[in-house]
Parts: sequence; C-alpha cells; structure tokens
Amino acid sequence: MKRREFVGRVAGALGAVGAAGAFLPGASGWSNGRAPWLLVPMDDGQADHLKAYGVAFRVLERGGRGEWFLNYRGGAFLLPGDAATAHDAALNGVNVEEIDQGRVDQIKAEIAGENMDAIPLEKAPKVAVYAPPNAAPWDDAVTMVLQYAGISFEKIWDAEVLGQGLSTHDWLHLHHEDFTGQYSKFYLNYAGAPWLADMVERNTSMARQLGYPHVPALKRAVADKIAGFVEKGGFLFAMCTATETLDLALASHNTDIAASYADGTPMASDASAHMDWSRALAFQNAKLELSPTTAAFSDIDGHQVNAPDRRQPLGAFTLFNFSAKIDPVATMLVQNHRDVIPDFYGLTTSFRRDRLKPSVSVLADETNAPWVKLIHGERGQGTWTYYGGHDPEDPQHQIGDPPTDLSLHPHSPGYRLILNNVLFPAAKKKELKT
Amino acid sequence: MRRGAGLALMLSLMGAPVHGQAQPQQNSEMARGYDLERRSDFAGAEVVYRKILESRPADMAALVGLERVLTQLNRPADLSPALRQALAVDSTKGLIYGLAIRTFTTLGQPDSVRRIGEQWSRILPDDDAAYREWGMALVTLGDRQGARKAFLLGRDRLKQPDVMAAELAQLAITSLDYATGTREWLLALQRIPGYRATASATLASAPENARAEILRQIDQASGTAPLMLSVDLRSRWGDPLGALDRLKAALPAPDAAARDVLQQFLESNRNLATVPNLTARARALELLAQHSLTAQQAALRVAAARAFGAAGDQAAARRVLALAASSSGSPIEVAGAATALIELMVAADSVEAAASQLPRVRPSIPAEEYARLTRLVAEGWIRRGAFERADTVLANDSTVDGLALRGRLALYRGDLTGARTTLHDAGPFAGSRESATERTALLAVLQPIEQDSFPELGRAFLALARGDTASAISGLTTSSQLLGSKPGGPELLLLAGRLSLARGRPAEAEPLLKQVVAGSAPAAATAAGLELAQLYIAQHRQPDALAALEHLVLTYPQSPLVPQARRLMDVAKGVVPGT
Repeated sequence: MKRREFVGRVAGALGAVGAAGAFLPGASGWSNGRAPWLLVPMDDGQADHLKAYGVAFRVLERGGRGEWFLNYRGGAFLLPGDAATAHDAALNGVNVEEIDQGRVDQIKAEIAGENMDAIPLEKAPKVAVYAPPNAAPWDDAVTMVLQYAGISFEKIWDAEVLGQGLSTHDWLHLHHEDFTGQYSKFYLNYAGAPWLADMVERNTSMARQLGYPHVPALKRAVADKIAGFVEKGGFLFAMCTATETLDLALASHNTDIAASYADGTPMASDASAHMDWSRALAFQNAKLELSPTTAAFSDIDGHQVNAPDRRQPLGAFTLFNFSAKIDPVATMLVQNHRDVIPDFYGLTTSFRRDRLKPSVSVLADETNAPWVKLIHGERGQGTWTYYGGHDPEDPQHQIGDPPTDLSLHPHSPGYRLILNNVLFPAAKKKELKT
Repeated sequence: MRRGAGLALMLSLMGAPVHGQAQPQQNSEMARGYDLERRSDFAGAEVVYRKILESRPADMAALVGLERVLTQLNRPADLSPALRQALAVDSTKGLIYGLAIRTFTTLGQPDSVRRIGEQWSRILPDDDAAYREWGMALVTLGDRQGARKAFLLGRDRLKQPDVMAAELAQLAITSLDYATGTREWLLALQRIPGYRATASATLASAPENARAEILRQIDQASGTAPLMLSVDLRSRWGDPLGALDRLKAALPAPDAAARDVLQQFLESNRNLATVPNLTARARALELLAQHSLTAQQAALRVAAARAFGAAGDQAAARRVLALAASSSGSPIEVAGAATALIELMVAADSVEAAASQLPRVRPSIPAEEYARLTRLVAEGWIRRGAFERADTVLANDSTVDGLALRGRLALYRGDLTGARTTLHDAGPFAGSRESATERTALLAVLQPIEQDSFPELGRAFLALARGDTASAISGLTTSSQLLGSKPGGPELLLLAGRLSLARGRPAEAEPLLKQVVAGSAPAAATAAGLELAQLYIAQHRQPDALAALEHLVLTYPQSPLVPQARRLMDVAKGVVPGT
C-alpha cells in the first residue's frame, strides 16, 4: 500500500475504529466470527519475538486481518484463531494465548484508557530488498531477519530500480550499499581481496550495461530513483552505509564526491561547499571525508568506526516513548520489550544531531551523546526510516566474521526495530503529526 | 624514530619540561586543550593549541593536539601552515617531519610526502625513521616504486647494506618478486633474527612454482635463523617430514643447541594433526630424547610413541615405548612408558603381551592406575570373546568402573537382568564422562525390554564392542523383530539406524528410522524424527526434512526435542547458518 492510499483511507477508518471497532476480529466479517482469538504477546512472555512478526505477516498474506496493540504487552498482535494461524505459531515456536471475545473487549477497554492504541493490520506490504544478485543473506541484517521471520520479499538491484521494479513494491530496504559508488571506500585498503574484486567487477559491468560512464554516476541515478519512489508514496528503510551515502549521492549532483579510483577523477577538494542538501532526505551541512584511504564518508556518522583518530566507543541507545494515540506512526516504529538497547557498529553507526534536518523525527538516541540512532521522516507522499549500524547482534562486525545465527537471538530488541518497519506499511491508521 | 626523539615526544606529551626548565603556564594551557577535547569542544581546543604554537611553533604536544582536533573537525588540510611554520623554526626535529608525512598521506598528496621525505633525509641523513616513514607513506598511497627508492636511499645514505631489509622484503613480496623478497628477508634476519615469523608468514604465500627457488636461496645461507626459516616454510607448504630432514641434516652439534632448534620445530608444528605432521612430530620428539638428559628421555619417548600412535604407526610406537620402558630414567617415567605400552598393546589386540606386562608395572604405579590397566586388558579379552579370562582379570576389581564393565560382560552373555542390575548399581557418574554417558544410554535401551535373557541382543552388542558395526546393526534389527510388539523394539531399531548413519549408510538408516517414527514409542519416535530430518538435510532433501520436523513438532508438542526440531527447521529453510 502506498502512503497516499494509507493517508487517504484515514478519515473513514478513524471513525470506524473509534466508534464501533469495525476492524475488531469478527466484527467486519474477516474471521469466522467464533472465539477464540489468538493474542500474540510481545513482552517477556514471548518465546520468539522475531518469528511472531512473521506469523502476523502471513495472516495478512493469506488475506486475513489483525490488529497491533501498540504499547500493550510490548506491542502485542491480535490474530484470528483459525487453524492455519495456530498451526503456523506452533511450528515456529511463537507463544500465543487463546482468548475469547469478552477478553478482547476487556483489552480494548484497557487500551482506550492508557497510552496505547489498537491499529488494524490489513494488507501485507510487497517488500523489496536492494541487494546484488549473488549477495549472501548473512551480510545484511534485514535480509537475515526477513528470512528468519519467514516474511517474503524480492531482491532487486540497479537494473530493476532504474526500470520499473520499484513500482510494484510498497517497501524498499537498503543496507550497506555505497551510493557514492566508491565500494564502501575499501578499494585501496582491501586491494586484491577476492570479494572486493567481485564487487568492483559486478558494479562496473552493471554501469556499462546500463550506459553510465562509471559506478558513481550509476549509483547517483539509482539514488535519485529511490528518492522518487519515496516521493510517490513508497516506504523506505535503510541501515548502515546506505543511510549516509544515499543522502550524499542525492546532494552531490553539482560536485564530484568520488575518489579517482571510482570515476577516474579525484574528489573535488571543495566538494563539501557544493553539496545541495535540499535534495537529501535526512541530513544537511555535512563535511565530506577527503581521504580516499579512510573508510568513512562524512561527519554525519557520530562513531567513525574506520577512522582510528575519531572512532567513538559504543554505548546504548534509548527508544523514545511517544503518545500512541497522537503519534501512532512513531509509536509503531519503536514497539519493543526493551527501552534501552546496546549499540552496534556499522560503516555508518549513528547520525550526528547537528547534521539532521529540522523536519527529522528522532526515534532513538544515546543519552547525552551528540548522535542519534534511529530517525524517521517524510518526503512527498512517502516515508523513510534510517537505522544506524550493521548488525544489532554483532556489535563489532568485522569483515569475515561468521554469520549471525538469529535462532540464538530470538528476542533481539535491535532486530525488532527492523521488523516494526516491515509491518508498519500494513497498518491502516489516522494520519497525525509525529 | 631515534630513541632520544621518542623520549622527548613522550615527555613533551606528558607536559614535562623537556629542557629542564619549568613551564607551568604552558602545561596549564595544554591541560586546557586536553580538557576541551575530552568535552568534544574541538573548535575550542583548536584555538588553545594554535595559541601555544604562536609562541612556540615547534611545540610537539601542541602540534599533535592540533592534528587530533583538525581530524575531528574534518579539516586535516588546515594543519599544513602550522607544520610549515614549525619546520621553519626548527628543522631538526624528526617528529615534525613524521607528522607532516602523516598529514600529507591522509590528504592523499604523494608529491608533498616526497618533498618532506627528501627534506627530512637531507637534513637528518642518519635518522633511519626518515626513510622508513617516507617509504611507508608512499606504500599507503600506492606508489611502490617511490617507496622502494626511499628505502634504498636510506640504505645508501646510512651505509648499512641490511637496513630497511624487512621493508624492502615486504614490498617485493607484495609485487610478487619472491627472489628479491627472500634475499631481503635473509638480510633482515642477519640483523634481527626475530623477523623470522614475519618472513615465514609473508614468504608462505609464494606460488608453488616459486617455492623451490626460495628454498634454494635460503638453504645457501648459514646460521640458525635461515635454517629455521627453511624448516618453517617446508612445514607450511605441507612437507613437515622434509622440514625435519632439513633440520636433521644441519642439526647443531652441541646438545643444547640441537634441543633448542628441535623445540622450535615442535612448537611451530604443534597444532596440525595430519599424518605426516604427527609422524614428523614423533620423530622430532624421538630425536629430542636422544639429545636430552637421561632423566627426561623416558617422558619424551612416551610423547613420541603417542604421536606415532596418533599417526597410525603402531609398530613405531611400540618400538619407542619398549625403548622408554627399558631406559634408565626415573621409576615414575619408566612406569609411565610401560603403562603407555600396555595401552598400545591392547589397542593392537596383543592382549596376552599386555597382560604379561601388568605384574611388571604393579609395584611402581598407583592402585587406581593399575585397576584401570587391568580393565583395559579385560576389555581386550571381552572383545576376543574370552569372557572367562575377563572374569578372572576383573575378579579383584571392586571399583565402580569394574562394576560397569561386569555389567557389559553380562549383557554380552545375553543376561539382561544381570546387565541391568549391575549397570544400574554402577550409577551414572563413575568413570569418564564419555563412558558414563554411554553406560546411561545403554541402560536406557535395555530398561524397556522385559526379557531376562536375550542372547541375540548380547551378540549384537558384542559385535559393536568389537567394531563390527554391520553385524551389530543386523543383530539389533533381528532383536527388534524378535521383540515384535513388546516394549524396547523401537529403541533397538533407533540404535541400529544411528549406527547405519555413523557408518555412512543413509539408505540403510532411512527405513529403520521411518519405522521408529511410525511406531508408538514417543521418545524413540521424536529422536528418530530428528535423525531422519538431519539425514534429509545432509542429502539436500529439504521438503522431506521439513515434513518430518513438522510432524514431530505437531505430534509431540511437549517433547523436549521440539526446540531442537524448530532450529533444524530454520536450517532446512536456510534462514539460519548451518552448524
């Protein structure tokens, strides 16, 4: 569902939800009308928080509906008590509680009186993940958690983005892609490494194939297309380097920000002065990293993991508490059973407060630190969310580290923030200012 | 960097008066700069450091502080004027040149790096740091030719043919010039033998067709370091026996020196468990024993025999042990050798010979150790089927382990009542963890069976003890059929299925496990379901694996194996990495 549609349905839904609970199980004819319903607790009573999102998603995929109880038991789900859902939950080790209509009514009453809300979930979004065709799932937190939760998605890359590939999807995820086209600036320090040679070859041949003179030009075109996707109502979720470099690529149409190994000409020494931040989604006034050997892009990232002189230690970030009834979007995005989450590095770990545009909503930050972790905003009819860091359960994440096994982290609060985003476009809710 | 210069930098960074004159005002200014940095007020710190540099342009602490804050402010280029000013005031400080080179490297300016390098080496021609920093900076900037010239200039100016050898060696090897790399490493080793590990690690990457020439070059050099480099490389390139031969051919004459190189060889080969490596290790230990004091010889020979045994060369192991057992070392070490010899003899089915050694070691080993050896010999008799001789050996063994072994003996005779009682009395904790677990698992298989006597089953387990797995599987399957619908049959089939899997016969295991899954014993059915799923995953039959696991989870939701089954489902779906 595009954001335009999401917003357009608001007026009718608002009255219906508030007045008669038209989206309550059984009330709108989407269930067989028989109790019990299945309540999926998302507090410490849940055995597998991550797979619980998958169970809810698949209900929507099967054409069913559900509700998301914001701030109730860690952001619980109410799902139809049909055999398929019960079967799915049992197979996946997801704890569910069978409840009858009377109990549902009690919960609704509690929700009405507290900082909680019940959000109807009605349509599974079509999810796309931007990744090279042969990328292993293990190096991308979103791909990993989507697979673990059993949420279906399609992989798309440059050719699809520059074609019509985005028009058939509601939600797009970007991970550690470097949209400045500099191969994450590993080109000099990892020269000779087979994985880097493969990355360079794949990208240069794609640029040739699509008629671009070099990779930075290709990636800038891809970035523009992605910004257009958001503009037209798409939901964008980006992590790690993709956050920072997408904005740098968007803002750099007047200058050369790529090192000579990427486009044949050195980076403009005054590139920072010529950035057009009006085109970026989240950031402004950043200073670019000039050294081609330092794997950092700008001073947007607060932690600078690859710049030994500037590297900052990891702390913990705190999720903000929003008013569920007034700020349902922000509330949805921070549903969790933990408020404070250990931080984790990425090529871009965090975002400096003084580099954020004033319109950006901060969803999580590190107390007393000059950086934030999770941000959200709007562009045109769509929304975007940026989440710093690479892998919530691998805080240091070095190249060559063994893959993260999510079955060992079924309660990961850091991964829940990703899955909140996936389910967020499925929600139908009134549009209120965040 | 020269030692004096390094000390001066350290002192100046600590705020100490370098020239012996108290500088309270300067110290407090520097302290203010540090404090501002700690509070992330980099712009404020920049002002402080610049103010210090106004009065003392060559103050190293302030210059380094300015470098730190300008890096934070993403303005490393702004350090250049301060560096120029510092060099204009004091052109004799190598540290300032070093800082300048670092800055221009960060800025990606090779010409400036060259200019500063040339200036530094011209003004301080005896400072080897000048050529090293200059060259390494050019390596970072990808100018290998320039780097080489800088290193060679240093060698020329310092008039020392082996200076910069380690740098030149690494540079040559990154350009795949292994001949020069080897030559330079040999020079570097002459200067500092401690370079050997790095030399070995870098040269090890040489392609196969370059290795013979590298070894020829190294073997022409004299001295321990080249010898050990040659030995290291041969080992790394998969020829540990050749490495040992090379070492033997050049073994130093004094025992102490020979021991030293042999110990180095053993140390560098301690982790690899291949047959050639274990054999080389065994031979090196044997050689080390020859060059060691008499008191140490027996222990080294026992270690050599164990390595020979691990390499599968039982004859060599017995030969060395016999030598150890007859050596004139301390009684404890000789007894240790005799004990190891008994173990090897039993493993090689020379039970009579092992039994004849028992009285010899009895006086010199603790009673517990003697009891362990007698059980080992009894197990040898059991595997032979000589149950009476085993009875005789175990007659005086009142330990829990002895009881457990008697329980097994009863089982092999088909006496299930005796086996159950004795194994139960032995309990779940005696002996090693492996043997205790095995005993408990055995008891779990036997307990559901209601018969008192079951010779077919005894024969099946005896076959298993003898290592005849095929006969054991056949015997267990027959025993299960004999039990029919009586309890205990599914557990025997499950064991047969597991043994088939262990033999690498999945096609034979699959019908056995399927039969157990379809049966009415929940514990055996869930365990068999899990085994079956693992078998399917190994054969890339993911849909079959998922079906088996879904059946397990939904049919036996309370089974303790359900979490394991769910994880296996994730593995089958490819959503978590396999282990």
